[in-house]
Order: sequence, then C-alpha cells, then structure tokens
Amino acid sequence: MAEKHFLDKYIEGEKGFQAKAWYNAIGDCIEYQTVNEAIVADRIDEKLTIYRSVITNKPVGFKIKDVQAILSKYGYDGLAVLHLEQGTTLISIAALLLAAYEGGPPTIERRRAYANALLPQESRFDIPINQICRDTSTKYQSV
Amino acid sequence: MGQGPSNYHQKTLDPFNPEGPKIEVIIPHYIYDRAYKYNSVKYENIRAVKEVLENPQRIFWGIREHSEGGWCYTGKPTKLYIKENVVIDFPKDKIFAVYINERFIVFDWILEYIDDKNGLNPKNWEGRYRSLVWPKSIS
Repeated sequence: MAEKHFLDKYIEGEKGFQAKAWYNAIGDCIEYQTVNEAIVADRIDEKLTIYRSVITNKPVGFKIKDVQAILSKYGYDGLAVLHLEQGTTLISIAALLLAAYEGGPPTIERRRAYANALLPQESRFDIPINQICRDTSTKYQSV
Repeated sequence: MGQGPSNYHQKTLDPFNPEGPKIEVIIPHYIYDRAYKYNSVKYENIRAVKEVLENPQRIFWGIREHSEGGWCYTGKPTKLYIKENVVIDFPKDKIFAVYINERFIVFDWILEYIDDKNGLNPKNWEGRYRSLVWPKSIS
C-alpha cells in the first residue's frame, strides 16, 4: 500500500483526471494533458512544450508559456472567438498556438511539434500520403 | 475529512544565498487541489517535488523569455508515479524539475530529459535558463 500523501489532509472531494485545457495563472501558461500518466517535457521553443508519456513516449499534451505576452502582442481580436451557444467569448487555443508559432523560426521540427499540439493524437484528421503524392518513397512511411 | 484549504510551506535552499539559512516556498492549495481533482498522477508526484526541494542538485534562474526571474530546482527523487497506483524507481535518464516563480510560489513540476554531458542538468539547460545559481560551477 502506498505511503499516505503529505497533502491529503488538506484535500477534500474526489481524486480524478480530466483531459481539459486550463490556464495556470501563477505560471502564466496553458496546460493540456490527455492521459493520466507521468509525462516528460519535450521543450520545442520558448513558448511550446510537448508533453510525452513516460510510458509510451508518445505526445499526450502540451504547455503554452507566456500567454499574457502573446495576448499583448496579438491582441484579443485575433485570438478570441464567440461561443455561440453560451454567448461567451473564449480564447482560441489554436489561435494562441499559431501566434506562438509565428514568433519563432519556421523549422520542420517546430512545424511538426505545433501540428501535434494543434491536433492531438486522438482527434487527428490526417489522410494517407499516397492520396496526395505519387512518389511515396519508404522514407515517409514512419513519419 | 481534511483540514481545509491551506497553502503548503516547504523549506528549501535560498537561491540568493544557497549556503545560508533555508527559506520557505509555497505550494499553493489552488495548484495541488487542481492536480488532485483533475490530474491525479501529477498530484502523487508532488511527493517528488518535496524530495527535490529538500535536496536540490541544481538551481537555475531565469526561466522565461518574457518575465524576469523565476527558478528551476532540479533533482533525482527516489520514486515516480507513472500511473495511478503504479510507482517505479526514478528513471536514470530523466531529471525532475520544480518551477518556482519570482515570489517563491511553486507553479509546476515535470520530468525533463537529461543533458548529454551531465545527468543532473536538464537537456539544453544553457539555452533555456539565464544562469546557473547553485552550485556555483559544474563540470
């Protein structure tokens, strides 16, 4: 049996997991994790860190840092969307990621990492490469 | 039944005077309560946060591009929760990092890949942090 957690006495309610993005105000970052597993930080650049599962090494989420700086630079107009059903204004995480991407060099590694963050594994809508390219040499098979 | 909301005060090295008296950093109730309810494996690994703060191997200063200050304390805790109720010995090829803002508030903790040259440093640490605070020099 695991040793009792030193913070348990300050906690009430149910322990659990929810794959939902949240804004960490103290760290000024948005965090999103899709699995309840230990993660390792794969730091892409100053703004984006990809979370990888310690168990599988697959991407399982991300962190966007310096959110206030991104908002200051690009303004709310370019990053906010209206939620029609609730009538509330939301900050688009996709728009934040695109803004963060614009701030750095356009390398292949960054592009892949930002694509992974924009479309996590469980909600991809990729299409087979042979539908687009005639020459699908073996080097693309594992990408 | 718990004792109610309370920030946790943890003693650690003073980054301004690492060889002097220890200081207290705060693990906010807001942060660990959220981890407990929505990210329970991360909550379990606050045990590793405590271990690293009690025995940090490195302290780095300047953790963000757009804000002054903030520290990263790193170390090798003994254990790691990888899933709910699954604990392993802390992996040799990783380091555990605890991020603290300029007001000495813990806001994140995570595993990092290690540097090729020194297993107690996070990968690419020289490009990520503005300076190494403690120890004064490393080989």
